[in-house]
Amino acid sequence: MQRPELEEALTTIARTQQTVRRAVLRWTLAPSLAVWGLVWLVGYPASLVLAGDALTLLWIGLVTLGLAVSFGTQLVAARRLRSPQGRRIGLSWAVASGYLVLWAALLFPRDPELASFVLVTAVMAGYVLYGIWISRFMAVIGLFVTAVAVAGFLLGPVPFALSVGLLGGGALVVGSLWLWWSSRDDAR
Amino acid sequence: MTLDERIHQPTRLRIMAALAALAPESEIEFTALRDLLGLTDGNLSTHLLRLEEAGYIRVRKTFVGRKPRTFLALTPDGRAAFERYRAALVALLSSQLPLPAESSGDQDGSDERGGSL
Repeated sequence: MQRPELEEALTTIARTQQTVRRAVLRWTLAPSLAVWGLVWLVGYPASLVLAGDALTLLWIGLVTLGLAVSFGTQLVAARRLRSPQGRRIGLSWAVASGYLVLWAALLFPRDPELASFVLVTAVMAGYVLYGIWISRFMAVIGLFVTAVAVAGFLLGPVPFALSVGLLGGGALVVGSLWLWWSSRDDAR
Repeated sequence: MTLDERIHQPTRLRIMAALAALAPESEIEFTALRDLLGLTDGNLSTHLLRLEEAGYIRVRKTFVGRKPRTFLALTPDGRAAFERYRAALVALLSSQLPLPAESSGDQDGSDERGGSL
């Protein structure tokens, strides 16, 4: 057995595992990232021009769309991939999301901007934690959007809505596209 | 220093590497793995059978809705064997000892012996 054959085996392992990890991210995250990015791209800038019931209805519609796509994404992914930890992870996300909605509901009447800031940064903390355990890619997105949200929050309501909507939402959409693009040539 | 020839065969190496990339106990559906690796149904089935016989993978048949599905996972023995195989590769490459000019083994999938270097 020759050294090049051994090196080729190691290369095969690395390349195959990269293909699988990218595919898992594509199956489990890419559609959700894209939809939540679009939700933010539409919702936050709309907060600058809409108010009252119209804005509330818009956000209810957008969040419902986001949750539906996220749930559907996990259902479709479960046709390809199953994990005994999957249900516990999903339940953990559901519990955390419930607390976030509770905090946002309590904060929103007093300070809508602070409520949004708490929601965005808490979700991004989840992305960073996901990144630590599973994929650095998610940590990069989480840290970037957190920085954007903090900067916008410090600058005021209009910069916050624009930065989170355009830069934060845009980052999620770009992240989703990158997941698709980076794995498009993996399947042979 | 030995290399497990049941893993070293190129297609089986890709299958084992793919399954090892998943979290422990995680399963991947047959057609998803087939598409990821660019294999045919028959080719994948043949190599899966050999890995299953070696006790390295677990094959679970079930239904998703009304459609039959086959899910695949590494067994604990399979994961340990894969890690030993990878460690052996690294050790062999990092050593400066000349490698014996032994047969490269099962390139066509017909040889199931455990090879050694």
